[in-house]
Amino acid sequence: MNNLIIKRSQLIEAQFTGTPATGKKYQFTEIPNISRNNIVIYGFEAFTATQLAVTPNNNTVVASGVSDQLVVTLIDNDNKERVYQLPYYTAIRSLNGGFVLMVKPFILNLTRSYVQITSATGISANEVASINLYYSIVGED
Amino acid sequence: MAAVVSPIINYFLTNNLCKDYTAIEGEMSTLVTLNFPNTGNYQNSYYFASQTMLDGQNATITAIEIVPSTELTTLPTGQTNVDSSILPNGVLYLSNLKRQIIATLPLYGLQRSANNGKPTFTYFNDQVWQNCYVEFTANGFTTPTTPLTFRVYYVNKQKN
Repeated sequence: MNNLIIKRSQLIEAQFTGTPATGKKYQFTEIPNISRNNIVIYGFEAFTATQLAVTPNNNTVVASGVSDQLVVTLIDNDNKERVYQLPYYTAIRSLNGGFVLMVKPFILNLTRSYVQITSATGISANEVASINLYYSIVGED
Repeated sequence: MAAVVSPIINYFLTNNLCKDYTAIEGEMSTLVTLNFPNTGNYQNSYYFASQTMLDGQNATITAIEIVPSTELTTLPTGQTNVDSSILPNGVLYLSNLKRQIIATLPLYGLQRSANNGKPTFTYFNDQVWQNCYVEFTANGFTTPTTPLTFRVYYVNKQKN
């Protein structure tokens, strides 16, 4: 069995601003270095407060109990939904045998990609869904 | 019987994006500790001491794991190892000579024991070890005199 090799990584987050609402799309926060359709992602990993209590941006990460109430959609530079409504739980490494989720590499459109809530119970305003992207830079090996 | 390899996994293997998780054994590794000052606090950057053998000029880092006290109670230096309860509050940053961030890795995920025995594979080639640091993101960092301990796997680069 194979596991992913990290070449570069960056923590990203989608913040549930206001009262968390079922079905609403919460886009990932812009990070200038990787928001110009300039990274090729080949894997990612999601976190709850069990793995990362607070993000480096000082936002509280969602509790582990709500990891089955979120879905993630990642969109490429052609606006195709390359990963559509993936259960957040599936991307938490420690809950999946230690395997990092791998995807067929694609150029990510970060700020169009989003997280949706399927049930708002237990999710507080301004908490974040935090994901670590594993990527290489476009044009780089 | 030969294993069936899907085209996508074959792509990952040939492009060095994944490898067998047992492949780590046999690579060189070293134990690195990161000591904190008594006044350690959260949202401060704590840099590693220089260790040029781990710089990208001399080595490729092929895996990193954190060694909590459940795996090693007392360090070879005699110090007590860090308790794993603080790990969800910290992030490891890998950085190059220009101090560009190569990777941000939450500490909890670097525990082998939290990942069913699987180490975290990396392929870092241009890091400068003394520019790498740990930052605690939440105020769960209560034992500043207890060092963090990492196991770093690496492959030496050939020099002419």
